[in-house]
Amino acid sequence: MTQDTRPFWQRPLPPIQYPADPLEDAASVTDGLRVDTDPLAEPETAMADGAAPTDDDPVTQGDQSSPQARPVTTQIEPPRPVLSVVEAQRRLVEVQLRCARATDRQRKARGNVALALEKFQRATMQTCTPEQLVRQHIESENQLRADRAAGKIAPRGGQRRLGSAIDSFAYHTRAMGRGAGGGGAFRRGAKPASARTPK
Amino acid sequence: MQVFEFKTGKFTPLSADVLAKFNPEQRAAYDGLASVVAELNAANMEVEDSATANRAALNDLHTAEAAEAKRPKHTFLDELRASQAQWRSDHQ
Repeated sequence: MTQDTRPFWQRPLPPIQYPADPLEDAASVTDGLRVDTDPLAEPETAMADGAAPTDDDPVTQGDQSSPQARPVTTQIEPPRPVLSVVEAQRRLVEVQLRCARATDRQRKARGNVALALEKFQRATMQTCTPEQLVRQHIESENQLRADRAAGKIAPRGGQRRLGSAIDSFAYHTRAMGRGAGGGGAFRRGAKPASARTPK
Repeated sequence: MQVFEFKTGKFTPLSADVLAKFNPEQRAAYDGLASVVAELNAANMEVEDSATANRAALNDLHTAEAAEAKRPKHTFLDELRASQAQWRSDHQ
């Protein structure tokens, strides 16, 4: 059986094992009685040392390489006893409280993982001296100039304007020979008064 | 060297020869990362268990409510009327 590598929030939920209809079996109705098997009991691993698990103690058990590796059990649970409504509500509230605590602990664990990852990255990443950074910058600039001269990349800033004042004057007056923008209307399609359509 | 994958939450332990090249600070950071990843795995399993228990408890509550609705109502008033009938039959 291949291990599902998706995180648990993307995996499909396991099917709910509904118990048999207890109302059809009168012997299974233990309403108001003390149930021997507590289905909502705490797992033994959490209470093994007699102390409640806290958020600070690191859990070192379990396989770290495969985070979601859990034993796959295919056995069908026996039908659950029928509780009184009050007892069922009490247990539901307890379970919801445990859900909230587990979610909070998971949120804190995610934050701790992010912090530890950042610390690990800062500890293991390669750091450059200022001289190395300057040398890298000069090398990249030289490579950029070479590529620009070779025509591999376009010069920055769009079309290169001419340099001298005479050339820029010729550029701006290239249409009609007048000042900056002069005659642009004719170049853009307008007509002089002699060529207009008569009214 | 990818130690932790965010998308899947998979932690890949480094080999011994890589760890041997670490300085104490790097080794401490790696050990801290491994411990908090183990914490995260435990928390994930706890969330899964509590979600399963929540579904089971909800199912129990629905079953209990159905049984409550199906059971014949027996109230104090019924007992009172029965005792009154018994008293009448005894004193007639």
